[in-house]
Amino acid sequence: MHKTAKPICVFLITLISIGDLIAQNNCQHQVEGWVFEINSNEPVPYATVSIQGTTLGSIADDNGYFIIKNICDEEFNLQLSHVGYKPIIHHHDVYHESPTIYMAPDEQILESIVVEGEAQASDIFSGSISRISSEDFHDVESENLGEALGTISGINMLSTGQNIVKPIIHGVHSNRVLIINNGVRHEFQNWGAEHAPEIDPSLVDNLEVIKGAATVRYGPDALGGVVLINPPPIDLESHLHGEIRITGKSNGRSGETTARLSKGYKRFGLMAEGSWLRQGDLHSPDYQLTNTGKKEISYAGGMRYHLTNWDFEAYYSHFDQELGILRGAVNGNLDDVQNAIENEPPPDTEPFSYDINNPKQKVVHDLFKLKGVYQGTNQSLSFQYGYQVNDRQEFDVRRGTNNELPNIDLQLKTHSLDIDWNHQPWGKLSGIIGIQNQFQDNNNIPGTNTPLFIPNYAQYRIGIFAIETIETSSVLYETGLRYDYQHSSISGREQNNDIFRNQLDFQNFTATVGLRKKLSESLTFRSNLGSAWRPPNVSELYAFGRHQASIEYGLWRYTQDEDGNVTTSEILTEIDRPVKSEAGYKWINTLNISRNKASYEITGYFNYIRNFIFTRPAGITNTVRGAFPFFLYDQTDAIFWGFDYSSKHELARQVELELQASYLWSKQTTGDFFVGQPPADIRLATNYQPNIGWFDQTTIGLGFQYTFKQFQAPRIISIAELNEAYTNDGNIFDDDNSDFDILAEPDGYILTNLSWNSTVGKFEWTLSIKNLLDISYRNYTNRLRYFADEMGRNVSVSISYRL
Amino acid sequence: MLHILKTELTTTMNKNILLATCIGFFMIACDSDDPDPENAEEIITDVTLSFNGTGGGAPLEFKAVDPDGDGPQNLQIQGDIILQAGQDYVLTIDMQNSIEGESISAEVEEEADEHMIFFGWTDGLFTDPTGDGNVDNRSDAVNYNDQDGSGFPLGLNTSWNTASSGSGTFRIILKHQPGSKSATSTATTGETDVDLSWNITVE
Repeated sequence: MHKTAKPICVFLITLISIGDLIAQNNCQHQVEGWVFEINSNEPVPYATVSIQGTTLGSIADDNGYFIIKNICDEEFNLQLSHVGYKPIIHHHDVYHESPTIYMAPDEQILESIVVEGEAQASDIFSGSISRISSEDFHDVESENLGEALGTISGINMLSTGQNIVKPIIHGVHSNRVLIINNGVRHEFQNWGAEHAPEIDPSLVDNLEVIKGAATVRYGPDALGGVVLINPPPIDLESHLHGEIRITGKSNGRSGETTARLSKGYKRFGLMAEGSWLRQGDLHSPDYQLTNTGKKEISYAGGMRYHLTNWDFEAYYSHFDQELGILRGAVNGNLDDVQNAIENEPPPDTEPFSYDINNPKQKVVHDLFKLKGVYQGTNQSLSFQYGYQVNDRQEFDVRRGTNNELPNIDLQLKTHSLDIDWNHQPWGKLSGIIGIQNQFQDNNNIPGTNTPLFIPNYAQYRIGIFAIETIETSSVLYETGLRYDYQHSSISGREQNNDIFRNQLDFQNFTATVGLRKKLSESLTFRSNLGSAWRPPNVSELYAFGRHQASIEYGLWRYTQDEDGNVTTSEILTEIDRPVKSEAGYKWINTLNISRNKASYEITGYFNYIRNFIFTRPAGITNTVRGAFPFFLYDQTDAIFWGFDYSSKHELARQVELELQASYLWSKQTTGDFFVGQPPADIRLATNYQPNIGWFDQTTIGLGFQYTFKQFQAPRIISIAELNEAYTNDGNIFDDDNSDFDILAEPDGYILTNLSWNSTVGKFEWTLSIKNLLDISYRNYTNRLRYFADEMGRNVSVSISYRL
Repeated sequence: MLHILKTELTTTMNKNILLATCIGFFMIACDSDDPDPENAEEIITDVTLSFNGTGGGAPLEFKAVDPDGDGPQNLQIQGDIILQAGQDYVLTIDMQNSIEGESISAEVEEEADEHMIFFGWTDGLFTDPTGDGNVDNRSDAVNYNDQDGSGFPLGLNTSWNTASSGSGTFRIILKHQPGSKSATSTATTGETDVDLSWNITVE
């Protein structure tokens, strides 16, 4: 172990000692930049640019380009103004990249903004990256995070009812999708399909999705992709500005208030935001969805302090949520499941209420972050410390006083320390080198009166990576390498409450190669081949027990003899059953075409995952409660391929058309299909911007989404067949233990959405109607699709005021 | 109390310092804490039916046992029910969690307003109640001797009169019906805590 410590120290010292630390202080500085119109991205010629407090200044040329030379100070305030546009002041220093200014017209609610360098939070250039910009995100921020992400082509939602939604990227989800919130790996109980990320979209400014295997940059788990979530930036020299927003929705009779304020001084900036939400029972077109209410409070605050070469940032956010799960989805044995499936409305349906009863989840997530960035000449060095505490409690319907107790109660604490160095170009090479440390402690909080579903563990991870690029006039080549090491200490209890312990080590190298080539003025091609890995999660190794209507045994909690008989009395180790890390190889290609009045993006991908960990059905066990199917964790190899398409067309001066489509094919190499993989879909949206009376700006949108029936689905074994097999004492999984589903895939459906958005002065209001035609449908990737229809029509009205 | 609080705080602080140290000095092994034991209170491992003949004599006991609870081992029904013809019996049902040494039937009795036991049997086995029981139809006859606070039947204690002869099956279903137990709630309302079937002979 100590052998590795030495090179790390050398590495750190090298990082710190490199760099031109001597400041120059004569009148030889200069600044150049570009000025664009915020909506059209067209250059704004003749904009006036000046340095505050001096006589220096310039006028932008026909291309919006300006340059000011002979500046004496290293940092200064850049003033920009133009007739008809909102003026802006930008604090700039010579170490930061050239600014690009987006000017907003006077009559619009948008503010002018400045972007330094390439406006991209990720450092992968050859991967396929989809963004939801700050302005677009505004339209989806009253949804939950999973739904907001689902608006991107190729990303689907894995849901458990309407309140628990997590992203599926190109067919993989949970532990295979990494979420980076505000620069910090969001650490939560990601192993459960019914554990949604604890992030409130109303506090988010914009987000990006990398649809490639971005493990080299972000660490293990990024087999399908990475979601980067960015809070609002904290600007210097900005007036007190912010937004207050109130949203009401008809379905669930929900109300939400969000407020955001920020102010920037010369060296100092502050930001605070908060959100409150209350939602009652939702309803499908035909009946109430009992116990689907939600309560949510979240707030965040950030601070920035700027010195010539340094930027410091402190950030804290808090998220607190209580959500109900459809009452009719609680089942006992197989008979109960069958009864729940056959009954519509679902069992225990009651009139509307704001009450949240069992089954429910209570989650709290706190994030504290400190970051320092040193900006040198053509290089930067950043240090980031993050501390997260994630509390998760899950409540089932239980007998007596146990009903007040959670049956799962976990606390996960995560410390992380990341150091990144964007080095000076070495010849033609430029790139980033970094080291990432993480320490985690996961504990069961005593008092659940339920055998532990997962054991306690402490886990340490370190990763070292380098990503380098060479750019010629038309091609950018990119390559990266990473090494990760993980040590875990595990401590749990057997069924008879005896302690078991284990120490585990995993390590791996990952690599990426890619290119970005400009084929012509309007054509860009990106290709990236990346490897990714993921050590088996503690839950996959040690899960034990009943979770709703099925029973699961982790990889090291069962043994199976030649006749298929399963015993769980012993706890295995890596010697009894070696478990290899999952290793993924994803090749992704993207073609961007931008023509005069249209832009297209076409992405094709192929992902091969070795040692893919999944659950397979292994039998039916009879208990006093009746019969239950049980599932065993196992490993296989799997293939995922597919494509995403999206395009935008300007049909007329005020009419825009957007088209999206995605298709995924996935299978285990043994020939089995997976349950619950997203079916193909097509989306069409039109936006019309008419000039209406006294509104400054109006957008009317009409959207259609067609979701196909999933035709690549595993076999169906109905509950009746399971029951029959059990009664006849036949193990139907002896001959064929391939995966199965208990109900056929739902039919395809078309959803219609309508929205109207207008601004008047500083006010903005939005009316939006989802599922306009109030159709009844079921979503294949909703785990509660067996029991109830999806939500019916939802009319939402929101009013916001910007200052 | 204050002392306890202080100790807890110190423990938490120490833990945090330890965690920070783990990061600071990279490779130090940081061990996981042992979890506290949890008692699986809700598992039912033993169910015993006691038929007490009103004419006296030792009660006839029939058991179903599942020692590993939710484990993969199947439940064992220990022997068929054999009752004497033309007899009056009082049936009491006892449920135990043998892993914890806990009486589940006592708990069910305490929570009578949330529980109900349903009975189903092959038609003709009993002269009173007649029929095939209330599993398929709530309003069918079963002679309950116990009630909850609202006067709805519970089922831990019931009365039976056997016919002259016959054989078939005898099924009991214990339902957990929090908030939904009523005069009309059925064997499909709520969650199943117990669902067992015995072969039965009246001779």
